[in-house]
Amino acid sequence: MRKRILATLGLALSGWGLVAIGFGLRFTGPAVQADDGVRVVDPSQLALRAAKGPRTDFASRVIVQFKEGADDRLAERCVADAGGARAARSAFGRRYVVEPMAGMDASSLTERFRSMSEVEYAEPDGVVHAHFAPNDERYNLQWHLKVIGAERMWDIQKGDPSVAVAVLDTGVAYEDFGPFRKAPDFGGTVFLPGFNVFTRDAHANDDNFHGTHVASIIAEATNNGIGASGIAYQSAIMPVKVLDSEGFGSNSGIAEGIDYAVKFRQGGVNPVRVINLSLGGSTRSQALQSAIDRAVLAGITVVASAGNDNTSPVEYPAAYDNVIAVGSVDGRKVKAPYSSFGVALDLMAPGGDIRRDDNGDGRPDGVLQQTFDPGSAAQGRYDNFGYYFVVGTSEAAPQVSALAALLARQGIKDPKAIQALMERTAEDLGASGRDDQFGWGLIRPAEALKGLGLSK
Amino acid sequence: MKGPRRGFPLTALVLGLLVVPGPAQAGTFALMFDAGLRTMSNSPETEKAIFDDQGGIGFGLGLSYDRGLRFRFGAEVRRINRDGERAFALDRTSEAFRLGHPLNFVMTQSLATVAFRFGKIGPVSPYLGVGFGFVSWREESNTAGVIDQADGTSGLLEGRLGVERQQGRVRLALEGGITFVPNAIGVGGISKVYEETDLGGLFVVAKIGFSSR
Repeated sequence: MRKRILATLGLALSGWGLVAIGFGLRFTGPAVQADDGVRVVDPSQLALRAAKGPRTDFASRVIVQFKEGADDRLAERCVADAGGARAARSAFGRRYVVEPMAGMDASSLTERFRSMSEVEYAEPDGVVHAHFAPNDERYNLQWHLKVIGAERMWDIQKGDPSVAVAVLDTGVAYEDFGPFRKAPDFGGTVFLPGFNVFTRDAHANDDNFHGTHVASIIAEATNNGIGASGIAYQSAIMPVKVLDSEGFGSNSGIAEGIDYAVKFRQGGVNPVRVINLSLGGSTRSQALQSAIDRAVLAGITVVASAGNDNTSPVEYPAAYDNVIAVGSVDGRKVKAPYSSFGVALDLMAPGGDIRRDDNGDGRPDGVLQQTFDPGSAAQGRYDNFGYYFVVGTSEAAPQVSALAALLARQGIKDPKAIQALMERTAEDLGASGRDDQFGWGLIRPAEALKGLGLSK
Repeated sequence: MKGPRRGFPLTALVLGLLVVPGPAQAGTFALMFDAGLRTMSNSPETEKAIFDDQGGIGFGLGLSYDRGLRFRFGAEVRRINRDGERAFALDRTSEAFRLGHPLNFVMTQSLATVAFRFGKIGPVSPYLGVGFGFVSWREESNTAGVIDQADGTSGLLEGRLGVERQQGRVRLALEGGITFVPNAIGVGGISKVYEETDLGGLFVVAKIGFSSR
C-alpha cells in the first residue's frame, strides 16, 4: 500500500511538475488521485519558501509605546529626535512602528527611544511566520475529526454565530472582492467584518492559502452535502490579515490584529471569544504580550501553534503565559516529528504527518480542508479552490480554537476556565500528567463539553 | 455502590417498640409528615454551581414514640429531589459556569432520632433533638442523550430544634436544624474542584401528624 501511495504521489508530482512561484520558492503540485479535487502540498517545499524570509524587513523596525499623555505631535518629535525615518501609529493606541533612518539599525534606534522619558517601552519588531502545512478534502478523509471524536462532540455542541473566532493569518477567502473569491464551502459560514493590518481596511482577503485552510478547520460549512467539515461550523469567523502573501508578518502587525478583534463591537457586544494564531516567531515582544493580555482580560481565549521545527521551546506567541500552546500528533496519537515542544506546551491536536497513512485510506495523513491552490495564488489567481491535506501545528491550533469556541457557546466565559477544562479532560499522552512533549495531552472535545457533575 | 436498606431505622424502631414491655401507662405514638427546605449549605459552592439556588424541597415521613413527658424516640425517612446542571469551575476560588446539561440529584435520608422535650411555653412545646443514620444518594445527568450516573451511601448526623403544638390528636411542629453528611462527595465532579465533601446543611421544615392520644 505504501508503495502504491508513493507511486501515486510520484505520478502526481511528475504530472504537475514543480511550480515556481513568487520568489523562486516552489510548491509540489497537487492531485494524489486524478480528478477528485484532493491535493497535497509538500511541507519540505513550504519550508524552502519560508527559508527565503519575508519580503518586508520587519526586523529592522522598532515598536514604541508612548506613555499616557503623549500626543501625536510629541510622539512625532520623539521619533524625529531618535532617528526614525517613518512611523505608523496603531489605530488602537499610542503604539508606533518606526523605521530607522538610513545608516541606523533597530537596536540603536530602540536604545534611543528607551532613553526618552515619554516612552513607556521600545523594542525591535520581530518576525513571525505561518506554521505552514499542506491540504485536501471530504469528511471520510478527515481522519483528524475521528481522532478527536467529532461526531459525539457535534451531538453536544456545534457552535453559534454569537460566538466568533478571530483568525489572524494570511486572510480568509470569505468574500468576492477584486481578484479574490469566496471559497465554495463557506456557503453557510458566518463572517464578521474583517481587518487587514497591511491595507488598514476591512478586506482581509487571503492571498496565500494558509488562512483559508485554518478558517476552514474551524468553520467550513458542514452537513451541506459538499466539501469537508469544520469543527465549530456554526460559529462565526472574523478574518484578520496579519501575514502577507508569503506568510510573513510582524509582532506589531499581530498586536494590531489582536487589538482590532478585542475592540470590535456588534450591537454593543463583542462576539469574538477566541483568537487563533497559527503562526510564530522567535522574538519576544512586549507589545504582543500586552495585546494578548488585553484580549484575555476581555474574556477572549488566545490559542497559538507551537511551531513546526521540533525544537524547544515553542515559538512566540505560543510561549506566552496567557496563550494556549498547541502541538501536533499524528493518526497514532504520537507526537508529530515536526511538532515543537517545551515547558510552555499546553495541549495537542491532530496535525498529521504527510509521510504516514495511519487510517489506511490511501491518502497522506494531513488535515483535509478547503483552500485555494497556493501555486495559482502566487500568480495572482485566488479562485482555484480545492481540498488540501496540510500538516503542521498550524492545523492543530485551530482545532483547539474551535473547541474553545464551542466551550464558550456552552457557557464558559473565562479563558482560564476554558483552558483548564480542555487540559483536565485531555487524553494523557507520553509521561503521566503534564509533560513537555505532549503538554496535558490530546484534546477530547466531547469530554470537555460535558463539564462536571456534582460528584463525578 | 449498594448501600444499606433505606427503611432499616424505621423498621427497627417499629419492631423495637412492639417488643419493649410497656409501662403501666403506655407511651404515645405519632405518625408525622414533613415538608420543607433542605440545603447543602455545608458545601455551598457546590450547591450554587450545580443548582444555582440554596436548598431544595424535601418530603419526609416519621414515626415517633413518647416515653414519659420528656423523651421522644423516632425514626424518619425523607427524600430530597433537586434539579440542576452540569458545570465547571477553574478552581475553588473561581466562579462556576453552568453548561446546560440537566442533572438530577436525589437523596434519601434514613435516621433514628431522639429528642428532649422542654415544658410548655405558652401554647407550644419546644424540643431539642439529634438524629443519626445514613444517606443514599444518586446523581444522574444527561449530556445530549448520554446518561452519566453516580451514587453512594454515607453516614448522617443531625441536630434540630423545634416547637410543637398538639390539638386533640393533631400535632403540628416547626423545626430547624443542620445535617452533616461528611465525606459523601468531593472525590470527583464540581465538589472536588471546590474541595467540599459534605452533602448536609441547614434545613427548616413544617410537620403535621397524628398521635395515638
